[in-house]
Amino acid sequence: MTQTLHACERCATPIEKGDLRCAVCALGIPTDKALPVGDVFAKILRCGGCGAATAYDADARAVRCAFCTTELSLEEIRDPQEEVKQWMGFTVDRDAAVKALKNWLGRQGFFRPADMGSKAKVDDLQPLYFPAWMFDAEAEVSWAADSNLGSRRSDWAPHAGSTNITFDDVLVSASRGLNPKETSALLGTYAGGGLDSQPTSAAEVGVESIHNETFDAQRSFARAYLLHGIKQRAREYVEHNCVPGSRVRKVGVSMRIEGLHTRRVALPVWVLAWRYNDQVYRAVISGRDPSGVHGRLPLSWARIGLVVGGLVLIFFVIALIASLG
Amino acid sequence: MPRHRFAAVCPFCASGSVIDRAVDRETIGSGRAIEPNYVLGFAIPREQAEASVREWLAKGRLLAPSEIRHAKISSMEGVYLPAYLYSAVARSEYSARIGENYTTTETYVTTDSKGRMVTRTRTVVKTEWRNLSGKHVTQAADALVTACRGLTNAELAAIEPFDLSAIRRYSSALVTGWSAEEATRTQAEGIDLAQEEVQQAVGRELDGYLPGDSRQVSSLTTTFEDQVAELMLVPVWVLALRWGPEKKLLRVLVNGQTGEIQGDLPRSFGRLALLVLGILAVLVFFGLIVSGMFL
Repeated sequence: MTQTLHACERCATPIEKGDLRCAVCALGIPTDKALPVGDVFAKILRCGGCGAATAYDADARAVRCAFCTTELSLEEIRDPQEEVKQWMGFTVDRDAAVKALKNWLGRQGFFRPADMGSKAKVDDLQPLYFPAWMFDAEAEVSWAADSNLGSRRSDWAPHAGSTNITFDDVLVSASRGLNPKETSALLGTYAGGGLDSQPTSAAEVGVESIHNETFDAQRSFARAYLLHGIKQRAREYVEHNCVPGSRVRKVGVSMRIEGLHTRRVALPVWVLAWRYNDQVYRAVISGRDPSGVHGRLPLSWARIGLVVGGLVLIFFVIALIASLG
Repeated sequence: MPRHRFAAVCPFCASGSVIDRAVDRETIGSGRAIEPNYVLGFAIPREQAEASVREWLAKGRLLAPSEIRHAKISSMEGVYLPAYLYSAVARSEYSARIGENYTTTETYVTTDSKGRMVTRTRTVVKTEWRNLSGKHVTQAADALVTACRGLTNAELAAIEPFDLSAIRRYSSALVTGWSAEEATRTQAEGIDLAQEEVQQAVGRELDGYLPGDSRQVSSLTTTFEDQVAELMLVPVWVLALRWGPEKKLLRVLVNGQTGEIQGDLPRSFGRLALLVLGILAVLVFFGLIVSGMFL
């Protein structure tokens, strides 16, 4: 777990080691630095290395002794690289992943090639852990949006309201390897999954090794990205639960967040390269749920042509009947 | 050392000194009322700041008085200026008119190519205006306002933003060897300035927050909770130039982190008049050519 010192006095978000201010509301972390009372004195800072007077150096961006160039350390924001602290275990092994792919290929509808399920060959199958943030928070949300409810001459009417949202174990992907559509399809499959302090071993899923994608962000960037993700989740919540009417657009949300607890986790996924008619396609399968499959699929141009031809023929027949009548 | 400064360089040995005066919360400006919470260190050395100012002066030199054009800019001073870093919860209530567009077909009469009166139809976009009242809440963070009477908030805003990811807890070691000003505006004054900034920011944010195809905010009231204004020293290179017979002051400020420059470069009326006359002469000359007088 990430080391936390105490919670922010204003918004109850845990303060992590190295923070000078709260990541959510920017409240400073209190210090008990008392100022001297009464006496006036001058203080000349001396280098610990050679005893000479020191000054801040704009080039070095640190306090540096002019005589021996020793740099003195000062308390500043620590902006470490984000690191995975907990792992969600694989419950889908290699064989189950291949079976899941075959099942998925077999139920892809009329416009896909009929022999896709039987002719598809798996080229490569890799288990992977991708990084994500899992967060809990309370949010007070104000919103404004257009919906069809109450519309008059225009299709839209404006609405506004407020609500409170509790976010519990919500995941925001930090992967750069998976695209947003893939992560969007996968994240729902990890709901309720327990977290361990160790990753699943390769032997447990029937492979030689499991790849680990690391966080590619420093803490400050991660927090800004996470807050953006929370706002996006709030917008989705408001759109589906708060705005009246059956059609909604232009949802604006503003929010105050409290008690933002963040965990850095790694989530299990199978990444497959499969081949059909000499074309390579990629699919991802959740490491927790074999029904969570997403990927690009080939189209059957013969079937599409058949449907279009049929429609043209029907149109032609109707036009012919109309001209005769 | 002047009363409003608490850090300077010793003129005899070039050592940096920091004075820790007694706390005097009653008479802010005569003593150091609040010790700074944070410091942003200089990231741009003097040579780079001077080069930036030289370039800035060169851009405006055509119309600048000759005293400024020939001024030496070797007297730049790196100063840590005090500013309040403000954060709060801002709750707003608004009333607005929301414009929802719709299309309609209208008939009009016009003249065709043969000069006959004809009736035609066209699709036009019209706007239906609806009233909307609601709330907006935000955690306003990182509003930076001046804490120094010698620096207006507009001057500070002109050299913002500062990179707050480089923020450090205040230590006298960071300002040693530099000049550092004391806060001469009270925290209450800082909060007033910051509230104004945040309210303006909320007003701008409403434009993207409110629905509709167009919108007009008729009223906006913002209240602030859990306000905190912490004192921070920001790095600024200052060039003060006295010029002309009246020894007018030109002050140029350079953001010590980014190099952003602020200054009101005076214009020479003589040069401005010459420029206008020159342009007029060119226009008259071309006018005469066009009218055929020289042909």
